[in-house]
Parts: sequence; structure tokens; C-alpha cells
Amino acid sequence: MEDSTSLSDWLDRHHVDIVRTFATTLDGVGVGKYVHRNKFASTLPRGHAISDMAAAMDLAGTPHLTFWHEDRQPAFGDIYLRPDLTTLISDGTDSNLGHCICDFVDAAEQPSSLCSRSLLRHLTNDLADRGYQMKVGIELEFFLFQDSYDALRRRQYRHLNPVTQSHHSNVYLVRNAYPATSYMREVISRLEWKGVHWEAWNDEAATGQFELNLEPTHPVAAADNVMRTRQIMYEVAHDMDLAVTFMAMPRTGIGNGMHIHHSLADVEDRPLFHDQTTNGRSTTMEQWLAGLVTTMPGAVSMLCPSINALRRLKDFAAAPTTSHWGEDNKTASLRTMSSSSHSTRIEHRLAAGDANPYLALAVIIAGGLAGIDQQLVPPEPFDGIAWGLPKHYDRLPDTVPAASQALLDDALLSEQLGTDLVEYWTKSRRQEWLLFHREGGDPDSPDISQWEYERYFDLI
Amino acid sequence: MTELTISVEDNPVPVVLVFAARMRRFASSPAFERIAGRLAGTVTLQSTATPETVTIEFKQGHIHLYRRAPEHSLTVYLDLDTGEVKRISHAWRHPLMALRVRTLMRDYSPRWQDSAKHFWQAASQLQGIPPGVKIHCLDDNSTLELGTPESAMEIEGTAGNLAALFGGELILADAILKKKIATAGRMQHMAVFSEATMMNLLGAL
Repeated sequence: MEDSTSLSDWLDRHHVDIVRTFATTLDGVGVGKYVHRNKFASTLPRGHAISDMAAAMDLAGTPHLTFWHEDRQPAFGDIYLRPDLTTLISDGTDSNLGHCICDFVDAAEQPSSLCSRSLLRHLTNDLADRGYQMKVGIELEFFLFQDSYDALRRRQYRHLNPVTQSHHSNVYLVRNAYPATSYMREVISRLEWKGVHWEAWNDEAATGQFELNLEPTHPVAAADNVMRTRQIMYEVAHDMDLAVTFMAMPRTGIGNGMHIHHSLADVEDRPLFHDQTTNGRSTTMEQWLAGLVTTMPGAVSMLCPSINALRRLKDFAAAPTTSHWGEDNKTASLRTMSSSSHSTRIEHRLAAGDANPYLALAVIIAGGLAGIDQQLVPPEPFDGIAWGLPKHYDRLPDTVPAASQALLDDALLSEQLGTDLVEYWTKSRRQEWLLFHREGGDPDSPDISQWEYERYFDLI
Repeated sequence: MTELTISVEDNPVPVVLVFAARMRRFASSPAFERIAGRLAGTVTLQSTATPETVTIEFKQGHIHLYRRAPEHSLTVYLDLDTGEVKRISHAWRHPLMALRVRTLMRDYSPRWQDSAKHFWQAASQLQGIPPGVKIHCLDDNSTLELGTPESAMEIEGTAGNLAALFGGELILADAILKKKIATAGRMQHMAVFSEATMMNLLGAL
């Protein structure tokens, strides 16, 4: 779909009578409505109304009542979901249903400062203004369990039975992947129908953990694809009486990450990260990299947004614990691959599986842009194992207050993301932290708490 | 009398901050200061409803609070919401300490009117706070107006709940949802006021 004038034709041709709108809250969950096609069309371009609560509520449905933003409505009044018609697609499984991704806007159609998708588009436009375009390929890690969500809820998420053959923590085992093939076949069928292009999937390091790699595309589309993929995977699991989760740590040990491969190109799609006259890395790439390293402590809050996500930051558990970078170093936060002109890129390995992909990409672009604007120089690459290091090596913040403080202290990120969004976000994290402690979470227990399962397992 | 000093561990969890803030408020009470200043020993407060634990070390007028409980320490099990002590363990090992801790756990809060004035002094500086607040006490039908009366937010509750609200024991939004406090006013004001009460609870106002 290109514009609203051809909307009616498009809906007719695709036999779509109902459009499901979908916008992403700061917490990274989808909200929207099933809207009759006439209503969908008649409310364009602003879109249909939805209560402000949808965008200002935590994962357990508690409204944000202990902090405020000027873009909130005075008494839970309406905001709007403005459809991005370029994302309108038909469902493929439900013959009368279409889907459209939306942005949160106010009555005057101004994007909400609390809309992470609008923020990402704004930063992507900043990149374009400088003559850059970004390509992003995202790897989604997830756990698949043999029981339905209902069954798991009934037994309070105890005795999770992974869909797997071996109960050892191998990786890439074809025999472990096989029990998941019928599930993944259906997932892939629905992804392809909806135009979400994928590259590969495989068994991952934890028991019952798998990874799906999405094809590189521009940042907003990449984040849209993550949200669509998570929703599709949830729906297939629901339909097959299985349970999938992107919760960062549904079990102790190795958790779910969301690795973000990315590179810059110019407006004519010529790669800008490679320079064969040096070590393979261009000045642009080194400055971008330096910006990411510099802002890494501040970025933790958005890349690892929950207490559960911060549990993942343990040495020798596949997640980074320091802000090091290194060439093809999978123990570092930033893994560079600089050998070929067309595939030179950075793999950002910090984001947890439960991160809001729009915010995750926004904070990465903010860091990279800061590096270019300030012409920062990266530290030397780290070519050792970046885990189990002596105490004098700075570790990334691994508590909610420390991560929030690092973000508040990061002037470079605040400048790019907006001080008011950063403040609102950190206050929402304070609410998460307070509720965890006051409602029964135990920070000293290595076990995942009931509070975390009930809050994250089904929704993320 | 040595002035009490109060410190917390690095990366404190909420319950540690809450009890440190309470100690700081109570320290203005001569009775509390007298008892706490003489105490030497360690007591652990353990929630009966959640894993929340705070250990308090008393040493010559210095009070240090941290999360982990040392083995065999005097442990007071209590309802953290009401402060009601359910039971005490290892009291036989530390009988004098147990006695003094019980005395120390009384409420040393000032009157709600004094707490409200003290609270307002700091909270009125926050961006987005209402220009004034009218407080109505249900027990004796008394009122207190702080700030600019025009477009003030109204707050109503019993003396006990008002004392808890302004004394750093309650967050306004929670108190409203639990029907301990009633309010009238704009949601923005209520949210920022709630934030101020939360900061007061955590000792950050």
C-alpha cells in the first residue's frame, strides 16, 4: 500500500474486511484494535482513537501513576494510532484480516514523544540527512516449550518442558532442531506471507532455545519485522498448544538475546564501513564504533530493560558484561566483521530478547551518531575472552538503578534521544524495580521468580 | 549526645532505602536518638510477605543498613506495610538488644501536620507539582492549606494515613488505589505528587 487513495482497491483485492492495528508501547508490547475496514478508512490519516492508558501502562496493567509526561492525556483521554499504510498487509491465514503498524499521535497528528517507533524514524531521518542509510539484520533468540500457555500458567511456570531432544546445552544440533520443525514450518509460512524475510533458524545454546535470523533491511522495517515475528510466533505457539517466549531469562543459565547486525551505506547503497586500505574498517565505522563503546553503559537500560534481562549479564553465559569490542569476538559487546567490503558490519550483542526493538535501534543509532558527530576514536580492540576479567576492568551496570543512572548521566544519548524521553523511561524502570522488590521478587535468588514469569513470559 | 549518622550499602534495594529514610526521619526525635545512640548490635528485619530483608547495624551512634542477613542475627519478622511485628527469632541470644529494638520500632513520626509542612517544603520545588494542596483530616475535621489555595489539589484521609503519606510511609497512587487516601485534582498533579511521595519513601526527596 502506498497511499490512502488506493486503500479501498487494496482492501477489495485482498478481501480484507478487518484491519488489526498494532503499535508498540515503550515496554515493547503490541497494542491495537480489530477495526472494520470502513472505520479504518474513515479515520485516516490520523487513525482511530485509543486510550492514553494503552501507552502509559506497565506490563501488569498498572498505569504510570507515579510520573508524568506532557504528552500524556489529563484523564486517560484518547490518543490515536496513525496507520503507516506502507505496512498494510493481509494475514494469509485469516482470510478477511489485514494488519497495519501504527504510530502513537495526538489529536493534531503530532507524534507522541513516548512513541518509540516515531523516535526511531526520527533518528533514521537524521542518518539520511547526513547521507547515510543503515541496514539492520536481527537475530531473535527464543525458548519453545511443549506445554500450552494455559498449562504453564496453571502450574505457575514450574517444570518447563523444552521442545528439544537432548537435555544437554549443545548448540546447532540438528537433532535438537528437528522437534521444532513443524512449529517453525508454520511460523515461516506465516512470516513469508506477511513479507517478513528470514535467512536461517537453528538450535541454540540453551536447552529448548532456538534462534531465527531475519534478513537485513532498514531500521524501522527491521523493528517492525521483530514485532511482527514475535506476534506470529506467539500465535503459532498458541494455535499448536505450545509456548514460545522471548523473555530474557525464562530459565537460569543462558538467556535470550537479540543480536543486532548493522552497517551504514551511502544514499547510493555503497557500503561505508569498509576500507581496504586500512584494517578493513573505515573512519566512519571506527567513529560509529567509538560512539557505541562510549555510550554502552548508558544504553544498557534500553537494551536490557527488565530485571529479568539484567540477570542475563553474567560471565560465560553468552551475553557481554563489559563494553569491549573486538574483531570476530563473540565475548565482547561489539563484534566487528571487517574482512569483506559488502559484509563489513558490527554485531551488537547486548540487547536482551525482551528489548523494545525500536528503542534498541534508537539507542544504537544515537550512540553511533554521537561517535560520528564527536569524531570519537575507539579504544584498542579486545582480542581476548571478555569474561571473567579482573576487577579493574569496568563492567556494564547490571542493576536497574545503576543502568538508569548511567543513561541519565550520558549527555550524548540524552541529546539524541531527548531528555524528556530518557527521564520518563528511567522513571518507568524505577517502577519495574520497585514493584519487583515489593511484590515478592528476590534479587539474591538464582531462580527466576514467579513475579518475573507472570509479568514477562506470555507478553514479551 | 552523639548525633546519629546513617549509611547504606552500595546498590541498595528499596527496603534498605525505605528503612534508612525512616531512620533519618526518626532521628529528629530525641527519644529515638537517645535509644539508637546507645545501641550496639545488629538486627535483621524480615518481611513476612516477601523476601525483603534489611539488616541494621548499630554502633556508637552510627547506623548502617544493608540487605543480606548475617547468620544467627536477631531477626524481627514483620508486616512491612503496617509495621506490625509478627515474631522475633534469636531473641534469647540477644535479650537486651531485642528489648531495645522493640522500643526502637515504635512510631516516632511527628504529627501529620508537621510532616505535611516538611514534605511540602521539598515537594513544592518539583516541576509539575500542584501550586497548592488542601488537606482534610477525617478524624477531627481539621484542614491544612499549603501553597497557593487556587487550583490546589485536595487530599483527604485519617490522621494516621495522612501521617503515613507525608511521613514517607505511603506512595500517594498506592494509597488512592487502596482507598486509604482520597484526592481531587488533575492527573498530572496526582502523578507528580505521587512521585514526590515515592521519593520521600526512598529518602530521595
